[in-house]
Amino acid sequence: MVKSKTFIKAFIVGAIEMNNRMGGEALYDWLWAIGERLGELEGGGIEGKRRGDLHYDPICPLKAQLETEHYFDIIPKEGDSYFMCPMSSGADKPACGDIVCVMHYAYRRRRGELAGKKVFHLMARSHLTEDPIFNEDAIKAAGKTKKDIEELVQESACIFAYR
Amino acid sequence: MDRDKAFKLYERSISLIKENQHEKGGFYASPPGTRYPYVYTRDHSVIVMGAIFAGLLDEAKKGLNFILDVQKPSGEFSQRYDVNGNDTSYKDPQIDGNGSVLFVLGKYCEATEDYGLCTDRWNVIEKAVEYILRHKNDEVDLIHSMNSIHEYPAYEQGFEIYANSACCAGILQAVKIGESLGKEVFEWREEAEKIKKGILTRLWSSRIRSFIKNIRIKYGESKPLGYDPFSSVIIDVDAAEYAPAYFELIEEDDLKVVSTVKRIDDLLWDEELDGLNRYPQAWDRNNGGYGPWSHFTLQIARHFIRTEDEDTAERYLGWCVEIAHDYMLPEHISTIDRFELWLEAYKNANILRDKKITMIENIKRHPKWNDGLVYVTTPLLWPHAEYIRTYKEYAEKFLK
Repeated sequence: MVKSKTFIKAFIVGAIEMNNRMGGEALYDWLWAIGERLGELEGGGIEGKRRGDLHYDPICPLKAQLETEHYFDIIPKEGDSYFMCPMSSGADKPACGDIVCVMHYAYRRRRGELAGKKVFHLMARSHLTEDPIFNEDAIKAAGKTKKDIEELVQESACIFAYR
Repeated sequence: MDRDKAFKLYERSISLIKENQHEKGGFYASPPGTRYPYVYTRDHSVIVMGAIFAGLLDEAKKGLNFILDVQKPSGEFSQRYDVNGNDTSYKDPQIDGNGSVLFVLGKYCEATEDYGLCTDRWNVIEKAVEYILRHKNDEVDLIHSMNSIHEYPAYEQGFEIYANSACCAGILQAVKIGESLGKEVFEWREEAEKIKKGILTRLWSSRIRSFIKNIRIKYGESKPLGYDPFSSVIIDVDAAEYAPAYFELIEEDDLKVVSTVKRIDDLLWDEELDGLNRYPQAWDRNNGGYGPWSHFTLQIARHFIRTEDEDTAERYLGWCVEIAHDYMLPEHISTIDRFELWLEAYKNANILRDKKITMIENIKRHPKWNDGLVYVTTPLLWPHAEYIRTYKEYAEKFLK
């Protein structure tokens, strides 16, 4: 039967299928488009908890729902490119702890734009390894250094800045 | 009751409301530097209502302008905003916010006959009503909510009484506004009447002789509802079961209200601290320790005032006067024993977050801690808004 997690699994499977059939770039564009559309539906807004001039999420709300690491070994996929996050670098791109960071960043970015803010994604924690993944261009563009955010990294799944 | 203190608390409540309105119009739920320095739609609506009753009509209008300007594209009013009007919600939608905004907007119009606000924002009103009606289940004619007044989905996801009462009353106010503006609102009235009937029948128990808390349903679109994964009913006592009267859907002296309030008074009046608890201790979600809440005590006080039970009205109102510290009302109070019980449970469960640690520090710093009492979040503006309304009614009925 269809269970509570079926739609969530369907999302992961759909993303893997997209990657397998159309390639990483198409997956990236698809997730970005979803995030932007969702942001428009939700409207302008500021996300996360605030510490000084930075914002952060103590936990990743999508990781908690997706349980990616739980499904990583059991969902058929070609190679491991789905989880490699084919990001292009730049201050206007996500820090990619998981491919869903693309969608979440595009969502947060669009909501920020609608509220008259520019959003920089400084760090995201890998869903699989829990290592912090930094976007150095975004850190610089937000007027920060890695040392500035060192302390916050310890208690965050995601760090971002509104300017 | 200390009548001098009661009057001074009334005056202080008015000044606190004025002091806690940001220049852009939003009312802080609690002052900057305390626990809730944001504009929460539910609290904001109650505070605007308090402002109307205090005669602060310019402030009320400014507050309404603020909230009407920050509606989301879907028609929803968010759980909370920052003072600049940015959506900063961190919870699932709280549909009673839509009802509350429409309800207080209608009350403002009633008090002032100033419909200019509504002419300019008719599209906002339409979207707010349509958002509510998109969540109506036609099998039971009730509105589905993810959570409600306690922000507690475990007990509130489904067809919950406060959310339904707020939404129904909100639509009825939108109907009145629409009629005043010459709009076609017949269908809204029909839908609101169906919801009202749903509340008065499906959320009422003849055997308990009380309104009930919630028909617990996971998905509002489940059809038939009996197959929904959550399908069950919560009949526990909750101060929110007074909501049909609070939102004026039913008369105070209706036997349904009288017997509901009797159950609330019997089961939620705190034997040790006095004052009214919001729900049973066993629900176990009592930040800072289980104990009575100022604003629920004040809401129910109005029932006793309106039904001319002066002794009980004084017991309720007088308790709030008594616990006010420096003429400021807390969200709720508790005892140190109960605080320690809560702290142990949350520590063991590993769910103490930084905000709660700050709250604990503030509790221990409060002068009442040395008297063995826990004061949680002082001042909270919501009870001050309720106090204005309750004190005024009490004074008009019993002090003249």
